Amino acid sequence: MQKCANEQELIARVKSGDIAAFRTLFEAYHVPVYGFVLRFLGSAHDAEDVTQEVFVKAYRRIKSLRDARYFSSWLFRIAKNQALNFMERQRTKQVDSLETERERVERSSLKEDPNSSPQDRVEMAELEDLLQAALNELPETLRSAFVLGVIEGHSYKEVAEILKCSVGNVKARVFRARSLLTSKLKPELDRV
Amino acid sequence: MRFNRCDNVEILISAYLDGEATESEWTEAKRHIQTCKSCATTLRQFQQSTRLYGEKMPRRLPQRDLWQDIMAELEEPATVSLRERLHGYLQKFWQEFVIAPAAPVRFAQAAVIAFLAAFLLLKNHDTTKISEPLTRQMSLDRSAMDSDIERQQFLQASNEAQVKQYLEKAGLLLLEIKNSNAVLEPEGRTDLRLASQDLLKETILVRKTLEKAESQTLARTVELLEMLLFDLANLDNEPEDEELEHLRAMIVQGDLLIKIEIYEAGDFLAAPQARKSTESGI
Repeated sequence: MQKCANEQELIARVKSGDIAAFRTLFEAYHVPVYGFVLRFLGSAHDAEDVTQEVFVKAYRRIKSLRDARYFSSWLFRIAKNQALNFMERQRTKQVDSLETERERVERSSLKEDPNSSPQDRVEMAELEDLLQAALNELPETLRSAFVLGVIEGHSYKEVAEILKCSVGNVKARVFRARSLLTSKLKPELDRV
Repeated sequence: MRFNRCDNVEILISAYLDGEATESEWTEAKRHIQTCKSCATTLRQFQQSTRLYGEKMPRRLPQRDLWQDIMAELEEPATVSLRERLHGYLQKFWQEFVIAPAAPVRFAQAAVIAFLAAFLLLKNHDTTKISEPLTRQMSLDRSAMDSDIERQQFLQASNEAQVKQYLEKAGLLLLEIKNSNAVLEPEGRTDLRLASQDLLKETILVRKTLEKAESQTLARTVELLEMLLFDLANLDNEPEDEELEHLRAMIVQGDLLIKIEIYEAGDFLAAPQARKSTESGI
């Protein structure tokens, strides 16, 4: 996981209102936070909004962070809670939070590889949709552990700190998530 | 405690793929995989799905300038929630009246304490006289409140997502017990008892929901879980071997039933009609 130099010093400066220090932390963390929220929610547009909320909240609440060494876990915990709040708001609004067709087309046209053909890119986007749909079907407790531990590459210890559970529990959650995903994706796995 | 070896190995395979298994654990697991076709298949499938998620889900970047929007939002005055305001008031009260009160406040505090002490001493006799009916009244009020709370909780528990979540929680607890040998180790038993007590409360609510949903197979699973959790919640500090053996069997059975419910009967909370068709094999 990405760590910035003198993180503790930066956090102390942010606590005293230093926006430039906060920008350095933002630059170091906004991509992994966005990545986590994107895979947790399944929509790029929603993930951007939630990531923004996460950093606004982090800045306003940074004084409540007692030990600067746990900044990363603290920030991802905010991200998980904000994503859950967002899902709750969506549920009450009864708005479909899945990615819109427009977003899908935009994403499929992103240049992953300059040598890939348009057809390859569409196939890639379809496969990504399939993987994301399988993720969306997981219960939230399993999805957060899988996205953090497997997709975002946090250690189980870090995931346990973020999710406030034991390492054994993380191990069990990731295993359950993997089993469910594997059974959902069986036809795809046979083609790999 | 020895459980089904394949279960433990499958969890180890998953941990290994994330770089979370020790070398000795993996050496032992590999030895098992060489002789077990089912675990070898699990390893292959887990490797494939992990590769899929690693390679086909590339890291994405936000498409808009988030920093600019964050700055714009931070410049606006923060809306403070009622909870946060109350927290602020409490903190101020705590600081000014408890931690470091000013001299006049200290005198006032002393006066109030003295007055209360005198009042309690003088009223002591009367208080004991009224305490019995008052307690009875309070317990009646509480039982009325309890039934209200129960009704609310029942309504909440009657939604599908909650039952699914409950099964996941129970499954995770059993899996954790199997992995950590918490039943055998005295230091793990307190946590285990507490976790089981918490889940037991939820079990009772879920069972009521299922009675209403006429879901018999799942209701039987939850019934077994209830018995198991009851035993775990009341686990002795020095359990007999026989009791441990019984618990072990129930944990394996409970875990298996949860797996069946989650993995195979995906429609476990479908409408009673659909469920009945599934159960009768139609």
